[in-house]
Amino acid sequence: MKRIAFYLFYDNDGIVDDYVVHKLSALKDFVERIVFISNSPLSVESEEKIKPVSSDVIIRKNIGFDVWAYKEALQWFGDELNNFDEALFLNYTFYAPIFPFSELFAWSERDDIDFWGITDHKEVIPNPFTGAGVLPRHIQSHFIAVKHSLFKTEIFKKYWANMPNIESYEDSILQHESRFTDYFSRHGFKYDVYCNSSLYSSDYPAFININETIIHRCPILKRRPFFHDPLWIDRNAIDLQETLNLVNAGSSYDINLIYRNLLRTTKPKDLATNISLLKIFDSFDAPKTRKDIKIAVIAHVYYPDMISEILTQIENIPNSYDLYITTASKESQMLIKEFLTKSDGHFSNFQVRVVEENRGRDISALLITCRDIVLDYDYELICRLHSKKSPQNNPNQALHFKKQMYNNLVGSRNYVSKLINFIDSDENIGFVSPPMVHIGYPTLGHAWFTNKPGAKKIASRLNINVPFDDFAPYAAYGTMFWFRPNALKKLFEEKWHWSEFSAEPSHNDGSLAHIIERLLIYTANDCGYKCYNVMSSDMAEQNYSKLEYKMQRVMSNFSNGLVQEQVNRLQLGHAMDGTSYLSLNVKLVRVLKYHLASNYPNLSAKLRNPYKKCVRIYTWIQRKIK
Amino acid sequence: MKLQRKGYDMSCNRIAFYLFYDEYGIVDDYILYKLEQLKKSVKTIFVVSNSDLDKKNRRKLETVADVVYCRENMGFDVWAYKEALELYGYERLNNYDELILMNYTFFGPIYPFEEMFDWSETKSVDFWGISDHKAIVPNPYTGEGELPRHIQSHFIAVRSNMFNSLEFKTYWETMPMITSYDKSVLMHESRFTNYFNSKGFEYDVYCNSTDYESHYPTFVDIKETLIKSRSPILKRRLFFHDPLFLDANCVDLKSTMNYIENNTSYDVNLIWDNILRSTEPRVLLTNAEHHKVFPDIQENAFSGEVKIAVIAHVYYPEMLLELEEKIDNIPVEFDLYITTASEESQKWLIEHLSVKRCNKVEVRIVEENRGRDISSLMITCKDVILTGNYDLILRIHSKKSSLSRKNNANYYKNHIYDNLLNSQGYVSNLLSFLENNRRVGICVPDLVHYGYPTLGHAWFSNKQKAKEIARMLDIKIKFDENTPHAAYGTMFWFRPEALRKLFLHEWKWADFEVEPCDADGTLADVIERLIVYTALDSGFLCYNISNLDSISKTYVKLEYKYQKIMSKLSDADVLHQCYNLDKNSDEIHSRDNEIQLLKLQHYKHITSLSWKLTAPLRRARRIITETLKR
Repeated sequence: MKRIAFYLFYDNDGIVDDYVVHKLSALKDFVERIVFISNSPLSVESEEKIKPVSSDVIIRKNIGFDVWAYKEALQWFGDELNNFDEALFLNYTFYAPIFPFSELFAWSERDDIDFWGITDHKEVIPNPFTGAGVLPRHIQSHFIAVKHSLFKTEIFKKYWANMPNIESYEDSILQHESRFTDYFSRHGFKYDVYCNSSLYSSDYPAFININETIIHRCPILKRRPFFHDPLWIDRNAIDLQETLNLVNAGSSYDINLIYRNLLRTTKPKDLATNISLLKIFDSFDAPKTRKDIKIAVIAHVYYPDMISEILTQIENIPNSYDLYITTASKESQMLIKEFLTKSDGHFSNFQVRVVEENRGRDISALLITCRDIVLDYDYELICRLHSKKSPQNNPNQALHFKKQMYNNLVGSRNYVSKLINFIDSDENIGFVSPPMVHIGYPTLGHAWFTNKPGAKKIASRLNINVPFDDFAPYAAYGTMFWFRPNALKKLFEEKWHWSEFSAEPSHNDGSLAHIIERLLIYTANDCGYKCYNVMSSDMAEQNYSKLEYKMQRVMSNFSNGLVQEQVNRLQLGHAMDGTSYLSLNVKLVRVLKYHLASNYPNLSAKLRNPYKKCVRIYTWIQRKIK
Repeated sequence: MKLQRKGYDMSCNRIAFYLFYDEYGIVDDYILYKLEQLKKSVKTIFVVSNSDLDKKNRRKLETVADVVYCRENMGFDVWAYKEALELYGYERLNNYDELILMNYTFFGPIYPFEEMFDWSETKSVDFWGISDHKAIVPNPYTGEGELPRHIQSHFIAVRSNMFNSLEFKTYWETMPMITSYDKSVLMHESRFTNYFNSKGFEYDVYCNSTDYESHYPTFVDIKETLIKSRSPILKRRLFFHDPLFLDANCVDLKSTMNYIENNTSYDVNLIWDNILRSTEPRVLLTNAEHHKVFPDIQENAFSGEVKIAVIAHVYYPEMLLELEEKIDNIPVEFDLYITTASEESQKWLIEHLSVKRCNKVEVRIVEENRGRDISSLMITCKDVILTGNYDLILRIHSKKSSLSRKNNANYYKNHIYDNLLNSQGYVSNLLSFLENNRRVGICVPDLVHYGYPTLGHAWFSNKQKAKEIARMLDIKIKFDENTPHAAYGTMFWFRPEALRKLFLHEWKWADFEVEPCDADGTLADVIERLIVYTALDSGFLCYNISNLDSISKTYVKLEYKYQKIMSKLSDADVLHQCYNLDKNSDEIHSRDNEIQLLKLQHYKHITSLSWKLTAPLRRARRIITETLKR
């Protein structure tokens, strides 16, 4: 069978990831001609990448969404299309082939159908996009195959010729995705779906029953679940970690193709939540670690009296390691050197360096004073620690913070062995840090504090293009962590100057040190490395009980336990913020609406229609006046 | 018993006035222990009870107290002391060198009281106490001025030259009536120290707040006060105080409890006996961190000297295989009891059943199809629990995913199965934990919140009925405000004694709703929420249990949800965010809480605009009905 494929591509940064190349080269075995249509400009590198796997490359302006991209390509081809038996319309929004395309095409080679797809969406009443009518059952537009029997017809040509302008995502669904199937099946054309929604419980199996579809050897895996709103994923109990496990175990698809794309394009915290990037280790037994791992420990010890405590913790590392200490003064250096010479630690070498200037705390000490260690000494793994005293907090809080750092990074010999084995088992894990501290610290949901604008600036200076988390960064709060030098390369290659860091004592939020603290994971994600939070089982017991209670307590003050619904409501109330751009009238109406909706559900249901009518009249009058 | 110290005998010369209060008038053993230990250093103990006592409890007090005086609960601790002093008579106090005013709000002595009294004898002061509170500006109770540094009223010792002084008598004589907790702090606790100190009486404190950073070391720096100052007391309030406060101050109660258990001779069971009875279960769960995470590898081989029964309700026989696989993870031999709905399934089950390490199998049929898994446990398997043949029982059932929201139901099922029976190693660890912690009577998976809107609302519509059933079963646990600590999904490990109360009741099939019944608020739903309460009421601890994978997943999801919600509020200081929205439970106010709440609701209702607007309608209706009657 002679096939032609129209492949739609879009990427914000114009980068073609390997998963696209992989998908197209797999497709090439079954498709004569692949037309690569990009709705975004492509980088030179990307264009080179795409050439071997596609016959034509069309780069167009991002107008009319996917629909107009197909329309234009079809126009461009004209009657040449008739040389083919089947035309495929597919796009970049999925990973494939999870299972060989041969299975799919073997199934599709039958005469009783005129068009087919891989997945479909069940009928929805009322149509969620319009609020009325029916959203008919439809083959999803990420993959639609049309046989000659259909595309040779006038109806098919008319469908595209009459396609109106597409101005929004909703338009593209209403005018094309949800319309296509219904339109042609009404005209008597037959279709079938490979991964049929009638076999599944949800409306949208490729999204909601994603794991079942994999078990049933569906060849595609949607990208969207991985970067979709975690609250929605939560509400539908979609287990994406399991999805990746299933792909890893059951198919030959290289899972790193998925990771590399997601790490670059997804908000780090959303990704970490959706695929559960948290590992909890017990300390029951001590597994063996690889003997020849080159490990360095870089510790900033500002207070020399704390060297003994920190060394006891570091000594939990089962392997031999090189120890680098930075400190603030010559005297401290002397004291620490003396201590280390006498100590019976199992480090192979040690070095004590003095920072040139006392600004930027542990961050500048790491980025400037220890730059060469990270860049030139080819260590496989580096453990970053510092002596934490936090004189600004009460001692209990400081103690807990320290526990959260040390116990979760270098807690015990057994624990560290497991941690090292975990990082060692996957070369794509580039960074591990303890979860954000929340006991005693009002961090959760607000941890950007005032550092977001500054962070954006520095990120663009370092050419870090990972999208930023909205409300709270996925950050190594406390700047202690394990990392692979390559994961933070971008950060270390930058020539930082002492003068950029705030001089003491103005070590406040918004300073460069605080910004870099929040950029560490972004840097690693940008370099294609996975970042995990790690925790010991003891700390998990504590952190979980406290966190659950806080959440329960907060939620108990809302009308129900549906987090997404409550977040939306709070967002409405948020309009009352002084910073909001809305006019006072609008604000007042919103608050009234919110109040009615939450306190008088029956009344508000009755008022909804009259209200809408009033709004319509109001806007009509406004227009007339103008 | 007389203690000879430094050549003179002090033990004869002390008198202690001990204030007792308990909502139900129950005298727990921690009080007796404390008074017995005190008696070693004190000649006379005068117990004032602000709560009613029955004969048994009065007797209990009388075994150690010289005088027991039971009074109306008026004027808080202050008037109790005032009355007791007056009744005893100031002139009779002349026989003593030291007068102690203390109360029931702490556990002790963690270290022998003698250590503390020895210390006090080296001090030539006029009064002293165990712990003190630093000065606070502004005074949090009045919003202005200073709350001066003060010895806390849970233990104040006064020497004879002071209690014989005119100032001391005037202090008590002019004490106004105390009508609130705030007033008791303002008029007595925070006033006493400064009042006498400014009149030339000197004082000292055993566990001195100047050695600590926090304002209130015996509440915030608890472990340190035990180690550094060898403070003999542990405040009761730590267990039932608002967990948000403990959280904000990083108070580590769990490690303190571990310290007490491992390094001192104090019997922690005395603490649990009292706390279990008087604390909201979820507050206790949070403050004491009753959550265990077990790995799949086995730490120590499980000895195996335990008689185990598995009671499984298999309504859907097609799920047998899945259940068997999980049950096979129990590393020791056990008896298996299966209940099912029909004779066919019984036959089928007997034919197909193959479970390793199973001594004996019994397949029973439930008489009626109502009450789901709950009735089959409560009625059909009643004898298994009550015969006392088993040390531990696992309750499990075939949980079928309904068609809608299949993911969610699946996740729920796996969450429960995996946290009860994840692997052989996991179950071994769990069994050794139960073996070593006899006080733990029930282990349940933690509350599922992924895919379910349970957080903060898991009572749903069952609270009222649960209260009724609890009253019927004589379960006196304090009810959780929002989400009960419960065995959601009704699968759990338990000791039969822990749930005896629930099984002793004669449940009837007719008590349960007829199937199909999807509504919330059924008896089955209510009992689901009362299982943990029953165990706590019987004096057992309840632990949440998780495996490593499950906890890491739920933690990530929980943290995200919390972050998202908090990001919409002005800051992440939960204590502050919740402050205006809900009230703190306070033991002294607790009796009136519900009435006050009802009154408040009623008040809000009748003052609301809609109520006022519709007033004419109601009046019209009343007139019509009245005229019709006539």
